[in-house]
Amino acid sequence: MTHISQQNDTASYSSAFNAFLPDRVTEPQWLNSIRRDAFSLFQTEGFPSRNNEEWRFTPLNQVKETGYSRPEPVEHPSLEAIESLTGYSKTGPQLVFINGVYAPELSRNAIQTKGVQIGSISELLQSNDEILQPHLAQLASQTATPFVSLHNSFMEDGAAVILDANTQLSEPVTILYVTHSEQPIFMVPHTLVVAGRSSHASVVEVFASTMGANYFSIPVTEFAIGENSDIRHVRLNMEASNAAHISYTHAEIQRDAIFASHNVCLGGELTRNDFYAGLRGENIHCTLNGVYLGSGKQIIDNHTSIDHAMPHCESHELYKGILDGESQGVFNGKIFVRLDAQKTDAKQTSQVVLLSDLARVNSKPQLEIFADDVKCTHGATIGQISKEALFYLRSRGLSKTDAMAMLIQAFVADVIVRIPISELADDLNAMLPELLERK
Amino acid sequence: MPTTPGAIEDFASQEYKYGFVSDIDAVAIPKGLSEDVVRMISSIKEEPEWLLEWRLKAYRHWLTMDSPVWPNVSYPTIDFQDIIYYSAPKPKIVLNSLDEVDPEMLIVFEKLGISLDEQKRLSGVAVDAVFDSVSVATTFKDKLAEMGIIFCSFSEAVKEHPELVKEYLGSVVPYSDNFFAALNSAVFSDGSFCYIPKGVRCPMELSTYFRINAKDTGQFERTLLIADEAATVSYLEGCTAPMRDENQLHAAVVELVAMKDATIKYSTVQNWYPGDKDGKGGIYNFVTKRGKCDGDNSKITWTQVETGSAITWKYPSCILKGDNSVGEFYSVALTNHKQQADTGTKMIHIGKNTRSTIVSKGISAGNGQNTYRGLVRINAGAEGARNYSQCDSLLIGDRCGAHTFPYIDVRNPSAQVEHEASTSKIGEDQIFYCNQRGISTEDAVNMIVNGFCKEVFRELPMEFAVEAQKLLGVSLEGSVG
Repeated sequence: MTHISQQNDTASYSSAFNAFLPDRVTEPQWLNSIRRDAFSLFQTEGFPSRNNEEWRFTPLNQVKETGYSRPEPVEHPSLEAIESLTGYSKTGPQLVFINGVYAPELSRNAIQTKGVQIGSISELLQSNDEILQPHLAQLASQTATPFVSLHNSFMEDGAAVILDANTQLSEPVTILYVTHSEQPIFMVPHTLVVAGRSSHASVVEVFASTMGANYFSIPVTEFAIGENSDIRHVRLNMEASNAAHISYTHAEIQRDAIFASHNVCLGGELTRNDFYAGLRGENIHCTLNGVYLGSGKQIIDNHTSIDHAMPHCESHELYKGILDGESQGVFNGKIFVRLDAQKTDAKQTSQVVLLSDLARVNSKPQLEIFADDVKCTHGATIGQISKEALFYLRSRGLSKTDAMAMLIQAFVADVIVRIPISELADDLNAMLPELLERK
Repeated sequence: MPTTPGAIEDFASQEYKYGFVSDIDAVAIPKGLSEDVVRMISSIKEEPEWLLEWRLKAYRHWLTMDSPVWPNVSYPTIDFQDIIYYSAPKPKIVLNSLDEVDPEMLIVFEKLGISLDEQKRLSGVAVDAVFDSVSVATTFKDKLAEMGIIFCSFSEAVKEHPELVKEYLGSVVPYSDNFFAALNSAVFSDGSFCYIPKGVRCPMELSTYFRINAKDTGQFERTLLIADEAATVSYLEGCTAPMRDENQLHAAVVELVAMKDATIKYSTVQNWYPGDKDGKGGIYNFVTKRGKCDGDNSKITWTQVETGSAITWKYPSCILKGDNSVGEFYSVALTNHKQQADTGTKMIHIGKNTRSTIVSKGISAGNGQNTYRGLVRINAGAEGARNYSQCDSLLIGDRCGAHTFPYIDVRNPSAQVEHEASTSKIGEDQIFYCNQRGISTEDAVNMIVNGFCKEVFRELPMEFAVEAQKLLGVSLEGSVG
């Protein structure tokens, strides 16, 4: 029985895949075989059920039942319309994708530093696929989640940031994935960042929509971070309020490198983010922070996994959530400390504030430790805005609403100000009152 | 508490102290499990029809279930048809005094250090000794009876107080609860039953010593403890088992019911045979323990020291139903050699202003794998609920593992839930500090480990606290240096 129902769930994707394959005859052979393997894996696995521990709190009914189709070509919105969506504009390189397809007329990537390539994956596949071949669709394990294999089956475009050794980017690269469709479509935007030895860059991914359609975004972001490099990443989810967003981010990190990723979740009816950081060398500093604001019937589910495979590494994790309405938050933070990973220092903190009676949170901070000389701590708190703090502000003449807003802003700002791209942190901080207002 | 110098060496030279097989004839029914076996157990025990029905329902439900695979432990598949589900010491006679007890059995108790006479005379502890599956002697019964306290074997309770058993059996752990609870419900052999009437404070610590004896006999204990309104009771459970090579299955069920204003304190020291250094042999301990704070202002405290068993799979839980009820869980779990433990608690907050505290200390040494798995759930109606959890792990040696799986599920905005966990090892500077003051490394480790566990030990009744400290020393043998 279960087998049959799985077949039905994946059936619409099967026909879409069969229609899609002939379009891809010109692509490099290596990618085509990855694609075919991925799809057969997806067909065998099907969607995860709620009996699957990893997907216990993630309801996938909407995703399974809506018959999403592949996007049709559309007329692109104007750059102003797109930049107004995100509320900030930057002068640095910016890649814009409409419904998962590169929009060169909206993008700015003329600033070419020597040894740095910033461009769309589709263009690179035609001009210079050798530089993508070692990494593309191979860092994130196909088996990590069924959505990675679904993504790889249909992956055709996205952003690539390739840094040679000793290169530096002075300004952050902004990647805008914009959905512009009235139809329920599914998209598989792919971001690949390959950082050579001692390189330095910041990458900002923004997910937004011009219309309120029910669509399904399945992004995968891959990082290959070389020795001694410093890569900063921000992912900003401002999806439409009834969209589904299931992402996977994978980082392979080599020795002496710094990787900091900040995950800001605001939009989407269903958001599920999986982060994986593999610490493959010594002396790595890895930060995975996140903040999420839930309201209405939103479900925001963040799974992080930090794999300490080598000694002398540090990892920090701070996740903060505010849940209002009937929203549901899920946090599952895993820290693995392998047998060889002595002198690991790992810290994980998850804090959630519930604002309404119907909001709900499931938190599972998980440690798996196989080495003895390590410092590992995790803390999880769930509570409400402190009555004392509220009283303090009110006693100074603030209305209850203002005092509340101020305290919530301070709670969230704690994560925002840690974003290691100062101009973005400032922007987001300035946007906070408006964002909270919208909630 | 510092131990005398050389104590570790003494412990280290000890074989598993309680490992011996005594030759007492045992009545056993054939291996295997079927409806006939369930009926046979029920008829041997001369049980009423309703209980047989209940067992059969449980057995039929068990057939539909699969052995759980989610615990973070690994063991060969258990052949449930290769187990003898019932054995009783023979001859089966009704005993009125200790004189009538089989002398060899008395020697066994002597070896265990719980000679009934001694216990009776010195410690003021009433002991309901369960030897294999049938209770052979119950002491202090008269004294307790004066206060209206019922403390007897489960089979006796079924005969003497069927109305109580019928009302509460399965009320906290239903037969359909989980695989091993269903198995236990179908074939449970005996156990303890305790009822504290309204307003009575039990004058002594109630204690049961369980022993697994006859070879190949899975032990399926069933404990039911009811504290009526404003009653108070402290209950001790301690376990030892003979050394042997075949894995023995133990699937017990413990149910606690606390009415309005009642307090139950349930303490366990578990040091069953953990297997030898290579993990051969040893007990499989798959236990379902749960307490229900049924009435307002009731309180249940679980304290456990787990040093034995090859595999421990046990989550003493509290259902905090009454308003202002309190659940507490204090645990020390130690795994050495190849032992595996997956243990923790569940705190289900249903009533208003319910509070729970979880303090879990896991110690892993050798190749031991120690897992804390806990659930804190605050239901929508649990206004003002409060939870504090702390789980600390101590790693000794570089081949062991410590794992934490805390589940937190909150559906009420007024709840306050805090969870903290840390993992550490015994610092070289700490050892150096002790060495420098003339304390040997072994003693230093013992001291640090005992200090690490102090928060839990101080919750234990006096007798257990002393035993627990010694046990840690024995169990850590060979892990230092």
